[in-house]
Amino acid sequence: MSTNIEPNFENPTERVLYPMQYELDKEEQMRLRGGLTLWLISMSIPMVLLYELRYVISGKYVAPNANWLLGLLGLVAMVIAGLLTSAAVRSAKRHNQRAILIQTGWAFWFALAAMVLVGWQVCDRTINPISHFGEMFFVCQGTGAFYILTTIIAVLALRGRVKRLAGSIKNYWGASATNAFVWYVCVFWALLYLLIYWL
Amino acid sequence: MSSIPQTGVDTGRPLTRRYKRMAPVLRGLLWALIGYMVVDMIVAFLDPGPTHSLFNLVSLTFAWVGGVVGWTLGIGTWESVVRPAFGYPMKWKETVGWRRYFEYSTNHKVIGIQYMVSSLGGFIIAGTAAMLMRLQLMDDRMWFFPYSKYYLVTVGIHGTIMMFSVATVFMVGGLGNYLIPMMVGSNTSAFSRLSGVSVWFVPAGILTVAFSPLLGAWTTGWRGYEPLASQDGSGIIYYYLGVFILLMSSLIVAANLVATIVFRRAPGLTWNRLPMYAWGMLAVSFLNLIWIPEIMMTFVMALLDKIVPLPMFQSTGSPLVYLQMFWLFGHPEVYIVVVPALALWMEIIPVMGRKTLFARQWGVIGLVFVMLLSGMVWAHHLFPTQQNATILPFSFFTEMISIPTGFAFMVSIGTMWKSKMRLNTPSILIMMSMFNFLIGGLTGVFLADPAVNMQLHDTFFVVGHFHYTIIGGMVFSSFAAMYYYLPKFSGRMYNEKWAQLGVYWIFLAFNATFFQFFILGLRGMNRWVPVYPAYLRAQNFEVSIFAFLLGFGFLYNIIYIIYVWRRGEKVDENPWQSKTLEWTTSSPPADISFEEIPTVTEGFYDYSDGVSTES
Repeated sequence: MSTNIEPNFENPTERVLYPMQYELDKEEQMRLRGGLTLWLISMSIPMVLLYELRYVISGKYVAPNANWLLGLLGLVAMVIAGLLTSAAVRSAKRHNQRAILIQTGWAFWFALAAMVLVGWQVCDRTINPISHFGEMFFVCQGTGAFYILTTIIAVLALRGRVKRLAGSIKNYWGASATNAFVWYVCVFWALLYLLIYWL
Repeated sequence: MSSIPQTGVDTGRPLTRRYKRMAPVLRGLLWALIGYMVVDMIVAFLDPGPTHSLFNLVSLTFAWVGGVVGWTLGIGTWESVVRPAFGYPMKWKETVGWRRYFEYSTNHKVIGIQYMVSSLGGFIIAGTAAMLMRLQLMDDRMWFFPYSKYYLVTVGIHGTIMMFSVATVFMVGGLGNYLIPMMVGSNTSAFSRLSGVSVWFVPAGILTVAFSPLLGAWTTGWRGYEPLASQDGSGIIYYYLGVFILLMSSLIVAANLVATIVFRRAPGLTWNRLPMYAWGMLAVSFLNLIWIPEIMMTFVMALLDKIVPLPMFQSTGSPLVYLQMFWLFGHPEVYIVVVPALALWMEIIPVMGRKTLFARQWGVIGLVFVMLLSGMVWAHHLFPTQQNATILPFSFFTEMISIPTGFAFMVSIGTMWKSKMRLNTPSILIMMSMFNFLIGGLTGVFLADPAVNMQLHDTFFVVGHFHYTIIGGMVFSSFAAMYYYLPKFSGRMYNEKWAQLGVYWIFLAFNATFFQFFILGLRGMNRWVPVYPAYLRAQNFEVSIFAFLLGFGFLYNIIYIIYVWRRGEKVDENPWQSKTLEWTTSSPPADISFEEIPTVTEGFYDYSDGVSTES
């Protein structure tokens, strides 16, 4: 059983390593993938709740009245961010760190744009919060924006590690995990988009 | 165990740098204060309202986020987690000695103790709140609290801290983090860095809830019921936030424990051989992974309801939706609390009885089916708001869940049957826990009957029922675990005479207190009221006396356990001759539990061959 990422308790004054600075064997990869999968499944539960929210609370159909174009632009920006992080994973397989930096840099800007577009209508006061659509809209938009914010932090962290650790990187699990999370948020936001703007 | 590579990125900075830093807890408090004030001022400045009030609901909410971030970073995660995550040099070195319990750590045993101590702090705060409640109830008029809302906020703090930082945390975050990696033959938990962060959310959550009345009294109890919450003082927002961060901690624990059990098991440790406590942790962790995000989202919505404000759970929306959403989590929560206790019975009884665990598979099936059914019974908390069509299925499932719960009794009693049971403190506590939980369970079946429930709803009968399950089941089992594992944690053994004095003390005081709750409830004593009819005064007065005795009894046991931990008599490494893997390590265990990862060749509960150990 591999234990090579444990802190060195025998001599605590020695340096411990960063994520990405050690080789991952098959068991470690399974642990990481399994943990991330569990976490994402668990984090899907709020989405199920949000998806049913409007009808549970109002008990009837509530027509959407938000600007669907802004929402769509946000979704497109998020999907582009996802495509870019996927490209970064492919670059990681080729150990092309320069390409990873460029692709995650663009992914950051697109995710940021998505967050601004998602958050825009929350701030522009076009939707009345004291309404069945409004109460659902603010909660869903806020949750969506929060999830996108976490992808932005994840992309920045990946970028920072690739930039600063450079030659000492031994695995690219960080890139794969970030990409998985970005696509998870894309699906999350796509479903919320349908709910908020069309259904 | 393979050693880690010796060098990271060389920054040229001296390794002793960390010792010049302020003590992490102090630094955490300082950074929390700075984060709180700075974020509050920024948000207050950006507030579009005309007054730019320095403290408004929105600014206080964001300020709390700033405070918790400051606290978490200050405790050590800035150097050990955040900077390395962005590729900056790791400057954090784990301390050796007592200081490591007061800072960020990745050692699962240190984290387990940090969880236990935080949870103990919550127990003392919430227990003090309970004593204040009983003080008020010694008379039938307002005499201790000036206004009823202060009584109600005390009830709320008691319930909230007990449920979310003690009942949910002690046996899972505390014992789970400490024991599970060793039980499965690993030197570390699966996500030790995350776990090292999550433990520090617990004190943040406890303090948030404890100080919440400073913003205004909230009268909803631990449930945060709407639309009452929307009319309450602003303190309710810190109820939501405090519980939110406590639940976040439990969620991380759940992910960590599941991944540890699934991916970190020693060679040969098949599912059929997995220790019962590990099965219990697995079941509980799945419950946490499913239901905690649900209630966290609910609390976010309730928070937005208050601070935006939205009409979601108020007159425009449906106030009953909140109740449904709360109890969707609320009832599984009961099993999150109790399943570890059931698992612990099955862990300790075969060791003390020197008898092979009876019907082990049924014990595991029981734990798993309790987990599955616990999501189908929530609406029995809301019978008075339901129609017959919805009451009956929930009544049915509530009664059904007693069957898999009964499997734990079957396995435990079957193991005790004709065994040579050692009647020492842990086994006595386990039997007391079984007795108490049986009463809690039977009265639960009683309350699952709609006709009875309608009569007894919101009376002290219900309070008696759930205290028998939570205290009787979980708290007594926690004490059993502490006495049982004291030699493992400390290498020292308690004295039977002094330990049993404390144990009988709490058992008698507990039953003298809470059995009378059933009688009080049947006589018409309602919950949530500080004043009551005069004919109940005498009984309430003597119940309060027993409650104080119970409080002192708990305190006696806590002090005695701490005393033994520090100064008790030294003892062999495996005084109970247990066969599970954690007992094959030294007592107390070294930082690296297993010099060589063990290979498991058979199950742990076969005591038909005497007292030999395996692996």
